[in-house]
Amino acid sequence: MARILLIDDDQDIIDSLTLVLAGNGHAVTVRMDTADLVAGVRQTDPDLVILDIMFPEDAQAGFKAARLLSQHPATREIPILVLSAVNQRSNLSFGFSEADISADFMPVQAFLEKPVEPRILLERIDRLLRQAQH
Amino acid sequence: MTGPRLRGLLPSTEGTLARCPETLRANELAERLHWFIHTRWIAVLLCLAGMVWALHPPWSHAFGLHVDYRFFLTVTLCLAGTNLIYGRVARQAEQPVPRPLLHRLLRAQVLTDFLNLALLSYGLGGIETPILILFMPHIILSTLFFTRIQSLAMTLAAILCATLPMVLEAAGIIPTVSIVAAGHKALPIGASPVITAGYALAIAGAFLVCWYLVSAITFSLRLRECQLEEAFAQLQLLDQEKSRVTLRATHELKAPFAAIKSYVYALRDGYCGPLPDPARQVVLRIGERCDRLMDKITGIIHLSNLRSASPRTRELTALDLQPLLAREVQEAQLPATPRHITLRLQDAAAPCPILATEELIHTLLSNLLTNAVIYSHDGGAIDVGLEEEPNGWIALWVQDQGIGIPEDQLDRIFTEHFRSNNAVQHNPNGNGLGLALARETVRLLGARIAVQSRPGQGSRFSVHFRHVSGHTEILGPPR
Repeated sequence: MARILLIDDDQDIIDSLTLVLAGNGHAVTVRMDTADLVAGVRQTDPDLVILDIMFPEDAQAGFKAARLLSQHPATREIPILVLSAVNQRSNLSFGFSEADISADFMPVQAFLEKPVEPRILLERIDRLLRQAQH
Repeated sequence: MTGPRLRGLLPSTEGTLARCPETLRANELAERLHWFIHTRWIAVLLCLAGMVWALHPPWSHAFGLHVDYRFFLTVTLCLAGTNLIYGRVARQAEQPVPRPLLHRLLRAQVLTDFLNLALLSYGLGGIETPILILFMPHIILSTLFFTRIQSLAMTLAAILCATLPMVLEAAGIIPTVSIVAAGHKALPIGASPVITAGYALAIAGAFLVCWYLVSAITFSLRLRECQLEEAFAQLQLLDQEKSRVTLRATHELKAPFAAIKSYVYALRDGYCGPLPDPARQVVLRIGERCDRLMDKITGIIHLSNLRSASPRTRELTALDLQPLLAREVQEAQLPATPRHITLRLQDAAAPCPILATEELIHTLLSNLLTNAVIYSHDGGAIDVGLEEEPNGWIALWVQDQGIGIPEDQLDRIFTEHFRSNNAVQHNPNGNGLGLALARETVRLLGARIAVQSRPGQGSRFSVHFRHVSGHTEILGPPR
């Protein structure tokens, strides 16, 4: 089972996802903001990061955090799964989706929309962890 | 946009005055420079024609005139020579041509034109022909090319060039030239200093009035253009700000529902211990209600976003409708299959290029197709197609065999939140926003939407788009 770092500002999302992740044997650590991210990530040494996009202090904090982690030598090998409530399927003439994953805009390994079915989340986590091992 | 709203957005005149460029922009000046050079070749040809005419005395004498061809020859050579130089300098300069060089080139062209016109006017007997009128277009162009002060200086140069030959003639410094052939009565203007002075003053006055009027109008138009540009920039900023605020508002509204739904999933899947069946059913209903509320919130925000958009603020590109429709039909098949509903796509014979954005087309088609699937009976069929109409339009239709719409409610179905009685009975969970979204999308696309329906037999929605003609590059779906 894996060490998963969950970065989200919503305590209820953290608690509900922790129920699912811990219930499947993962060790979950939590951060509610993206300050001092690299140091925090190095300290917890996760196998995978689950990252929100919009934070109260910055609507694009998640993007910035993903770019920071993907560029830093100490963290760039850690797979990132973005979990956001606003995406292209929201039909708002802006937003983003898995198709927008790219090295410069959204350098992450997967994207899922909140709320996410536990089965889908667990499958995606397993796939990312397997890919990271190869 | 209405007048008062636009006026409210227009920046103050004082502020704009300070920011408004005093002359045309560099790219416009460069266009005018090349146009000026090309147009001058027409003047060269006309001078050549004048020379040929003057070289054949029977032709010129037929009008009672005697013109020395050497004036035409000199002006033709000067115009052609200087024009070649200007063209070469413009071609060899770094591209885009720097603004100071553009101004120098245009100034030189106008001044050499004045000198050529002065020579031609002298050779054509000064006031004996209306050749001096040709100074006027240059004065008008100067107000476009240069600042107001610079164009005034150009106008003074025009006055000098137009009047100098007649003044020098009157003073006896240069010989008097008359084109009136022998045997005809010559005009006595050159012989009278008073008439010469009066004439020169009249020319000066006419040129100055021309400069004043045109420069005032040009200045006013330039100011208005700047104000409109600033207003447009403000609109774009407002649009960006609106998008940011909407994104944040959507997030703030959706996030709590996402959290509730996350708990629902955790409860449903037993992560908080086993649930008795009645409790499980309640949890599932909480989740369904949560989904519907989220859909409704998203729909309202989307509709408000579309409603406040102007067709001009959307960048429409030429897209082939056919592959986009095929993709949407494929997506609509997912909810249709469990109910054994068949979607039949009839392809058009040729590409169907329209001006649109993929996002707007997605909104429109997904709502029409989703509606058709929802309001079809299980096992029914939906026909979807495209055809080119003879009047230059492209028609897209979605025809179902579903519940239909009562005739007295047809005119209300595009109103948000309205749902016909039979629609509510067939599907209690609809949000009443799908067709309102379709109508707003159609408005932004400059298209038309129509519906025909009979209760119990089905509905046919048709959207009519303008066909993109010409050589516009047509884009297919990127992915």
